[in-house]
Amino acid sequence: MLLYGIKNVDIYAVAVSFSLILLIYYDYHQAVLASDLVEGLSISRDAPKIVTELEEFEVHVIAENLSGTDIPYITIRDSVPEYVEVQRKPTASMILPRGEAVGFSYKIRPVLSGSHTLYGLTVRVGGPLGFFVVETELRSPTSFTVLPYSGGVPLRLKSLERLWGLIVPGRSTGGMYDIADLREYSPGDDYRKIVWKALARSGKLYVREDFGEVTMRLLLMLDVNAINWELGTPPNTLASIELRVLRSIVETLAKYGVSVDVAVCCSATTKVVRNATEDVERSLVDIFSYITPYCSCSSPITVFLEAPTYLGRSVEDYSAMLLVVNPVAVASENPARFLELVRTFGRKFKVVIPRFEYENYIDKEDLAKFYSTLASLVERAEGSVEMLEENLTLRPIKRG
Amino acid sequence: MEVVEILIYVATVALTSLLTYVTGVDLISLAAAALTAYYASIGSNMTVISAITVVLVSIVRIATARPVKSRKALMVKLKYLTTMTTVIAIAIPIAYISAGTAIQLQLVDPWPLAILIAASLYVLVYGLISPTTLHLVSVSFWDMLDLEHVEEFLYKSGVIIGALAMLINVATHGVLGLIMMLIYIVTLFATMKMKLLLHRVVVSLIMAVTVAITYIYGYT
Repeated sequence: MLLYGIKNVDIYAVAVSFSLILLIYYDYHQAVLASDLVEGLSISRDAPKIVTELEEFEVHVIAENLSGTDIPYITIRDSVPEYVEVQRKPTASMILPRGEAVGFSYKIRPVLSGSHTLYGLTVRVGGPLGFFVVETELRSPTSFTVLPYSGGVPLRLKSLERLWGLIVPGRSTGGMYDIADLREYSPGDDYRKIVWKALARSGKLYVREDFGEVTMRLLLMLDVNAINWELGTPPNTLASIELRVLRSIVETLAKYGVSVDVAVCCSATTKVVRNATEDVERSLVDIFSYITPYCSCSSPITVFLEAPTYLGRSVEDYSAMLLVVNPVAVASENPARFLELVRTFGRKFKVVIPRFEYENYIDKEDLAKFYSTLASLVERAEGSVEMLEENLTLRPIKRG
Repeated sequence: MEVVEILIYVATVALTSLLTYVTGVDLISLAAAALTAYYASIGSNMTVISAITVVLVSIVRIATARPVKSRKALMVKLKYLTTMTTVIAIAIPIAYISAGTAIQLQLVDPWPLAILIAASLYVLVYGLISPTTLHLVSVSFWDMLDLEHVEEFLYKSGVIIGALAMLINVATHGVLGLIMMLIYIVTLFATMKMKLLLHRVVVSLIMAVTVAITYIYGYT
């Protein structure tokens, strides 16, 4: 432009180009100053530690300028992990006065349960005009645990009652009928356990809980493999459904006071949680913070043979050993190893197969054959196989 | 101003606005700057419009940056906006006066002189602002104007533009240009040793006057 002005003896063009040159120089100067201030920046995130699958929540990013100079223009972009749907752009441009803290927030919705981590922040500082920018990557890991969805799915798994015939409302396994506690009636409770005197006194429905009614100790095992995440589409991958089954079983059994130990294999090591039903929420967080989306158990299925030892118990301490597994995982497992598991746990061994559209991935006839073979194998050792009837799939996510 | 030129401008601004929204990187200013160069090369009147676009985009960018309601941030935004305005307010008249003066002198080649006058005036304005800034920088209004930076880049711009003029002189006028460049370099070194800001201004003025006399002597 300057050359054009000079060539054509255009005073206006020369004047404008001079001012632009000055402005660009000013912007460069400010960008250089700002780039020196990046180290004096304190950038943090604020996000809830525990959320539920598909729950929408806000992440706050706060930048504080600890230096004594204003930062003319700063753009912060947060890196959102995969399998987390972004509801609002995780980026904002700000002016950061000295000593001030400025932030922005965006909404995300995780579509897979487990532990998620927000890692890097891209910080771009520059002059006020934006001609010159300096980009820096800052590491600022923030983790949150996504629990599988539980609202809206049948928490009280009827299939479990049929599975071992112990949790039958209104009947005490120990034969004792001494009242241990009274609690408020909740839908699904047996009407025969309603304490009518309590209703007359308080006007509220109470049900009794008897000693001896809950005497079981259960080992709940879950084997998560990489392929489980590939079958189905988020949020309804096979792994997601298995995790929902795990949560549902723990919560259902907790309601009946059953003591449940959990063993989950989703990496090279097995995560064990003793007596998960004692403090359900804490235990669930403990379990699901170990699971990361697309994690895979790299150990053979016989790794669960050691689970009682890891938990400081023996096989004899358990009333039942419940393995949540799917046909694909069992089919890909070495049959000898699976048999070893069946033989070791014997009649206490229960195989739970979550409801899923297996027919979309396996031939129907092959699937029927597989079920029959599996049932005969497990039943030969006096165990049992149960296919859950509960549909734990979620509606597809609607954007907006 | 042809329809095609206007259409190119509208299409470029629309496309880069969309890309800026998608990528989050300001591409409008860069595209407008490129357009400015293009329009200048074909001698179009759209040059000024695209140049103004560059400045306007920056103003909007600053004005809409977060936080919107913070008073402190508002003051900082005002500071940058007023600084930009000050720069334009200083630069355009200086350039205009310099070019106008050089052309009125009816030299064979007026532009090196025009640039040199502009450089000298930049340094002169810098010299006038500096003492004021020292006393008034603590006052929030003057702080808001960011005069410290204005004076700094006025001085640097003056020096750089002066060097450019000297190089043009060497290329176009041979030995005479070389002599002037030597005078310029000596003057610069002399000013760098001086502690008082006003001395630099005096030396710069002497430099400008010397060069102007040389020109008139050589070419009229």
